[in-house]
Amino acid sequence: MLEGRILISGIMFAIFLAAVGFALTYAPDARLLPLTVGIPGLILTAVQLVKELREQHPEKIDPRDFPREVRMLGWFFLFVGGLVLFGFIKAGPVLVASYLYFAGKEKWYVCLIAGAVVAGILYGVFEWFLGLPLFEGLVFQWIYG
Amino acid sequence: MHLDVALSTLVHLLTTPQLLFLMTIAVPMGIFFGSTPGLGGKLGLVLLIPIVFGMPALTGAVFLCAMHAVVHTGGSIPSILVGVPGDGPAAATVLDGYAMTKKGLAGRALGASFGASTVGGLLGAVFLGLSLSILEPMILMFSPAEFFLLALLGITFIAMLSGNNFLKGLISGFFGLMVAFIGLDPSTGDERYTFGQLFLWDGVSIIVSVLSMFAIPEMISLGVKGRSFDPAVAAAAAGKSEFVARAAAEPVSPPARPMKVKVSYAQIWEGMWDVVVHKWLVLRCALLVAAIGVIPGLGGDAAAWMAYGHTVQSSKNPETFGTGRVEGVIGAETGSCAKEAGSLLPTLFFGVPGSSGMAIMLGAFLMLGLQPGPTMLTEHLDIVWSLIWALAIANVICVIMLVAAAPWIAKLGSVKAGFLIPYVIVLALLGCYIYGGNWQNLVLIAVMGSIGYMFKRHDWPRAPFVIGVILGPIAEDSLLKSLALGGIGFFFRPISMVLVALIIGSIAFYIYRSRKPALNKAAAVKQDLGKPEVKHA
Repeated sequence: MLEGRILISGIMFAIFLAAVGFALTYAPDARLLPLTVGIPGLILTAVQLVKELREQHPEKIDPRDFPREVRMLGWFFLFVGGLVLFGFIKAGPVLVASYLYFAGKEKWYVCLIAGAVVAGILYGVFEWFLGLPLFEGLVFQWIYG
Repeated sequence: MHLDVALSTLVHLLTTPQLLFLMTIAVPMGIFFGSTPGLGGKLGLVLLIPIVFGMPALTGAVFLCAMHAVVHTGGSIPSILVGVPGDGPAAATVLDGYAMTKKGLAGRALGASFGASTVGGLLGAVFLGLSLSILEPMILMFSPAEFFLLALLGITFIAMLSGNNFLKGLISGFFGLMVAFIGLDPSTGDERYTFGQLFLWDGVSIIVSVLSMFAIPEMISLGVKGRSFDPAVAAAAAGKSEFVARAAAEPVSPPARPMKVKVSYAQIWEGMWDVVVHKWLVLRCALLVAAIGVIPGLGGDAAAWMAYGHTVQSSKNPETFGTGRVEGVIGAETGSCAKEAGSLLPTLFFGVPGSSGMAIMLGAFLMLGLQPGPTMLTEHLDIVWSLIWALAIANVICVIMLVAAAPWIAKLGSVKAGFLIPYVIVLALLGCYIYGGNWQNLVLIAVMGSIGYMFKRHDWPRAPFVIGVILGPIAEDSLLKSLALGGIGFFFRPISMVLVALIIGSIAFYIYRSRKPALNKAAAVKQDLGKPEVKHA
């Protein structure tokens, strides 16, 4: 199985490779600094990748962390997806309460209070007090046009 | 020394109810972020940035500075009471602070910590104020070429101080610079790495970069580990000396179940009196660390350890440290609070953050419309002095609040960090959205946050990335200006040559340092081979 330390070095190498590749298509003035930084960056990431590939020792990371990581990253993407689709005011309280109930194993009334607090902060502080209109979500934008 | 500006800004701060009110609410926020393991000052700053968005520059900067000034004082509370540091520098306080709690001296340790933090913060502010007049002519001599080189030096320094991860630190800094190039080219207006997306024309905001590299990875990690901090790991990761890492690893063993701790006012006063008794130690630690804090990168977690190391070395009984010596608490706390003023200096005048916390602060200053550099001395001296006073006043407010709340303070260390994860994620995403009002920023933070988590998981330093993002536009602007003004010859001015020498020297020093263990090992093997074989009877 591909180790994480090699994966992140590979990702960084790919990012710098793509960045240098794109920079070559820009006008001479616009590509000056991206290439000045990108080319040394590409060399450094290549060195790091080779270093990681040649290293023999296994990762010093608890293997039990992996399922927990997948779960936490899943929650994070759920938060992002929920807020993008349904907006802060509607999705925020539901997501906080759901996280505390399912992942935090908190009692249902604690989760409800936590959700209400988030709704209070988002609506009360940001929309009402500070007057900042919050994103209402792509679904509601589509429904209301 | 600009005594008139110094005094008028102090009067302005003390007589403006709005500023006083903001500082009064910033202080408990700082204590909360500092005292909750897993949150810390950087995250506190990141989460408060959306709140200061739209405030006048002075108001927002004073609010953030007041919050940041007391984070380390808050961080000492869980260090002393439960043996779990609230942040990196507070790990030094655990060594003797928690040992004192186990001896039933929690109140005295807290009193010493509050007193030392306050005096350290005040002395740091005095140091910063006094150094202004000395540094002013030097700062004004800097041209765009020097600012470009300073940006490079900042990244090199901070990458070098990423422990054994210099290469990763450099890549991280370069990655930050590349992210800073996203958007329209400042000279030609050409699109760079925007992929036809309108929201990227203004570039990736500093807020998105900071949140994705700090807030999101910390919360994912907190959810994965279910615990917040390991002092030994933190010390080693921060690149501390072997002595410090070993000291951090040895004496502390947080209990499976938190002890019941009682704190009385009498004990608190006793601890504060200890600070008076050890006044010369406090003065030495504060000045040492404030001076060290000026060096970019060293103003971070290392400062508290250096002050602790100095306390141990200057003691007649160094072997007794780690068993509950009040001097250990005083040294570490003075150091961690005095460094803030020192690290504010390069942040404000050179645009090179003194620490990773200051990198975020620098981002916030830019967002508030404050451009670090010589103009801070020529045009915004009032803001500079307001920040110095904010550091001092926040420390005074902090000690008053903490002493008043001392008997109930033991509860602060037992806040359930896991409970905060969903709140912080929602607030972080909100911060990303508010800055620019683009929902696409939420998608961007999902991608960059995942990279940030991988950085954290595999010990890739994240501070150089943020510094790269912040310094990228400054570096590009300075380079274009210097090339337009004097061409390549501008880089051959004496100050530029000194900076080039410093950049080369720092890289050469790192290469020497990384080769040294290998050379020592080779010498040891050679010596072993040369030894005559011992024959056993």
